[in-house]
Amino acid sequence: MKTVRWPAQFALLFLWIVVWLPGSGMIGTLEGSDPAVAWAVEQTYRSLVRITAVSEVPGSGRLEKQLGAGSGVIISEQGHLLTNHHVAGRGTRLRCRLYDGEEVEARLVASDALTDLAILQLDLMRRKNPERLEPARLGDSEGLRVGDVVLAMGSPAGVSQSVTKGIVSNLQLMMPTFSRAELWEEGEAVGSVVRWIGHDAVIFPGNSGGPLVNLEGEVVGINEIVFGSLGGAIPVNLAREVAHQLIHRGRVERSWTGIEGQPRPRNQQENRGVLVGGVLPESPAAAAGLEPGDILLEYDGQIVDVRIPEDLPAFNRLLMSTPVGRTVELRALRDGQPLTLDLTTEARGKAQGEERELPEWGMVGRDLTRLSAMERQRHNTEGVLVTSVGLASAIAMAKPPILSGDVMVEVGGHTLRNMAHLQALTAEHLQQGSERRPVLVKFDRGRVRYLTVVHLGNEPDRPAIARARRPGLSAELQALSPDLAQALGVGRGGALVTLVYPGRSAERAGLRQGDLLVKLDGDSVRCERTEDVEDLYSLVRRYRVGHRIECEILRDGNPLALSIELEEDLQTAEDRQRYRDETFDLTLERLTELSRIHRNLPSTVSGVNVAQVDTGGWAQLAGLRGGDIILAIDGKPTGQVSEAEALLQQARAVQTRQVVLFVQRGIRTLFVELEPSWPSPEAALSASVVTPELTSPPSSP
Amino acid sequence: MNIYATCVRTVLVLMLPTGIACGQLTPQNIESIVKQHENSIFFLTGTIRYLCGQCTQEHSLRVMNNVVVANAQGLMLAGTAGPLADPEVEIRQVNLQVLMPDGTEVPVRVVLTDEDLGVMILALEKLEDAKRHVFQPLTLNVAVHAQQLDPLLLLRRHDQATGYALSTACVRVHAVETRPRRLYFSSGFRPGESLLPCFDAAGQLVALALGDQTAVSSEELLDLIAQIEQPAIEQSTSP
Repeated sequence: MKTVRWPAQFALLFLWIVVWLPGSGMIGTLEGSDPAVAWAVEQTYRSLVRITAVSEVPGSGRLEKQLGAGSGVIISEQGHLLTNHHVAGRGTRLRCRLYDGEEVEARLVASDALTDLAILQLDLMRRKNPERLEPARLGDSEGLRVGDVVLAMGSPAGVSQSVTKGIVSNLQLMMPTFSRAELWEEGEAVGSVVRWIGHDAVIFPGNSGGPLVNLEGEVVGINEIVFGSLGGAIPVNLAREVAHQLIHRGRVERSWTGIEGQPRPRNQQENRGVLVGGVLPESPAAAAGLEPGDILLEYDGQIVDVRIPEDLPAFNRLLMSTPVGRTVELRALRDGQPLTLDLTTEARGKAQGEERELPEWGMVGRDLTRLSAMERQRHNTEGVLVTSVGLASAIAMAKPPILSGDVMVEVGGHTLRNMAHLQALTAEHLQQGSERRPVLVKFDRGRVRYLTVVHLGNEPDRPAIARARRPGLSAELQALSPDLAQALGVGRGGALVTLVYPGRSAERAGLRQGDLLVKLDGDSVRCERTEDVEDLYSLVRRYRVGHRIECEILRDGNPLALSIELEEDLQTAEDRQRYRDETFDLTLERLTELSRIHRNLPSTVSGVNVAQVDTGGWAQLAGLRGGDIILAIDGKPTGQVSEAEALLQQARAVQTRQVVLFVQRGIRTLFVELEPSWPSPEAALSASVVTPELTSPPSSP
Repeated sequence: MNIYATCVRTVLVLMLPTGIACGQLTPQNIESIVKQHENSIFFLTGTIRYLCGQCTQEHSLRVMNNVVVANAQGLMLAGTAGPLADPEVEIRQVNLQVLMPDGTEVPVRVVLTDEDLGVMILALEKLEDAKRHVFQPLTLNVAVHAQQLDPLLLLRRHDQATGYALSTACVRVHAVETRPRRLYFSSGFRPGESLLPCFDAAGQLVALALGDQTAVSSEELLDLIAQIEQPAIEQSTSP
């Protein structure tokens, strides 16, 4: 859900809605309350879907995985579902929970950033429930009136499928011009073609892509945005047309004219038409002779009128819906004099190219499209636009460095055409050897053309850095604050022993938990502040391993002398044997003696510690957490990191559908299912586009 | 004690501009010490990419610091960059170069870190760089000790933008701690100035300043260097 404003007081409303919304027996709870609402809900509830999406977004020179949740509505028996582009348009892994709780994988069929809509298709071959899908009925958003009761259905904040009730508040909702808020998706201004249905049914992030339903049980909108307490839904008539094109063509075909329309100025004598605010250079409108300041009265025989900003989306949709290559007649006024012009439309491409990462360069880049090249005042679409750069990457280390926003135009003497060309040149470079070698690169920053040298090659292996070996006391301490000293009835000075490592030298020397350490090698211990404890540890670490340190302690008020032989500090002595798995995005390490001591783990527990779980990786998606102990992988015990490594590599080699981890978390054990997606021919199942019959015919553009 | 320290500091600050505070450190022997150590102190630049243990996000850090030469094979010491000393951080990539006086950059790798001293040991990525450039090791002598109020000369480099010549600073030993052996100065340092060598008037290396108004003695650094097994380094270093 695109939140335009998110006041803090909505936290209370959120809590209320979460408490109020039942988990899954939604329909039953509505019985006896409002039959009309219950009936409408029942018509659509079975088509409601909760979507969990792993998306890739650029950051630090990589396409980073992000986990998000949204809603969707099934619109065909073949499993097509409609949602927002911002929910699933960048999805690499999509999972849908159906009304009956079953989770089904889905694939992205196509998406349209300009209207923020996307079509997914459920993997019905793997669905266990044999019942046929029940697609929602798409209604007519033109028939809505302000005050009509509507129901917002979806998964607010990623919770179970839910319904809220409200009325249509506005049929021409736009981003308020005074707020300067604009909704951009992939460089497209969504508000330029969408005029939302405003309603006050409570929606939250997570409702995005969910249906807005009338009391006839028909979908009249697709929820998309929130303005404070007001929700905004894309009218279903627009969504239906876009969905139809996405399913049948894989894209929405639009025309480009280069006309930048505006509401008529207030001092304008003419009370009709559209003010031509701008004409893009080298556009069909420029070729036709249209000029800024002209008042456009008719377009292809249709009278056009933009009096207020709310009228603009319809005008823009009219221009874009013209068949590509068609010559249309424009009737306009220039300085009050009538004018007739012929304009031949051209195909409107995407505002931005698709982003791809190039790990060797440490960057994410995209092709230039006609619109993005024009925005940068470039004469053609040749080159690669750099959109994200890793700080420690090859291009960041170049002198001068290549930055985000730069356009690479030449690599190793080759004029760069696009991303595919850059990928090919990179592969060619790497074929000559994986060691980093210099490549001459030309790039543009605005109108300035720079030359730089990038040292391109495979990333070196992760560095193995040793830690200095230092002795330790084999015990942990706490500062004795003046208050604590007074409460314990002892003098100031000293440190309390909070933990003695079992089986280590301090324990063997007789040190016990609760002792008060007052002197070390004859020097009084001053440890009154928390930070003093680190200084005390540091002091001990300056001795040599094997040194016998003389300790004076107080135990139950009685002085006692102990001699402790310093052993190597467990922090530095133990090799963690870290293993990083790039497929499952996790890091494993040995269960060290120190971690066993702190977790009070008996020696009978055999497993590997989960040191890191990457955000948006398969491990995190499955619910694995840092600090978990993996006891077994696919039923095989994992006492050593090398065993876990071998099992994960085996899973990768056979591309197993599920990897089941048996995990200990605190005092509990649980099973965690990793379900990675592999780039295999199996994906073709979903690739076969089945032409669906929408539940009602698409409206005219 | 505090009043005494304040008085000493005030007197020293007043004396510094006149050069009196440097005691026996005359322009002549300062020049001599500088010349002697032209190839012992360099500037380290680069980046570290790491996965933070707290937020599980990848971060990058730019490194700019002084390094001092510990042996003729190009083993060097520098103040450690935070993530390298943190056991909860997963280091993804370390890209470090030592800037040589002739403008070339020599790639180095981290072989050992010590969070207690805040020191890391660096080795040359390519051993042949030890033949291409002069690495003049500092003489770490445990027998050399400074006393309170001794004048010391600090040497340091800055990056190329400020010229790459060695620059100097005179400091006084404010206090001496015996266990561990550590010196306290009456002057602070700027970022990038950790592990600066401190010489006495005779040109002997007394300690290395840590950048927090303290300095560690040669004794402690020798202990640390001893932990590096030289054959292992040479074996693992690509030719």
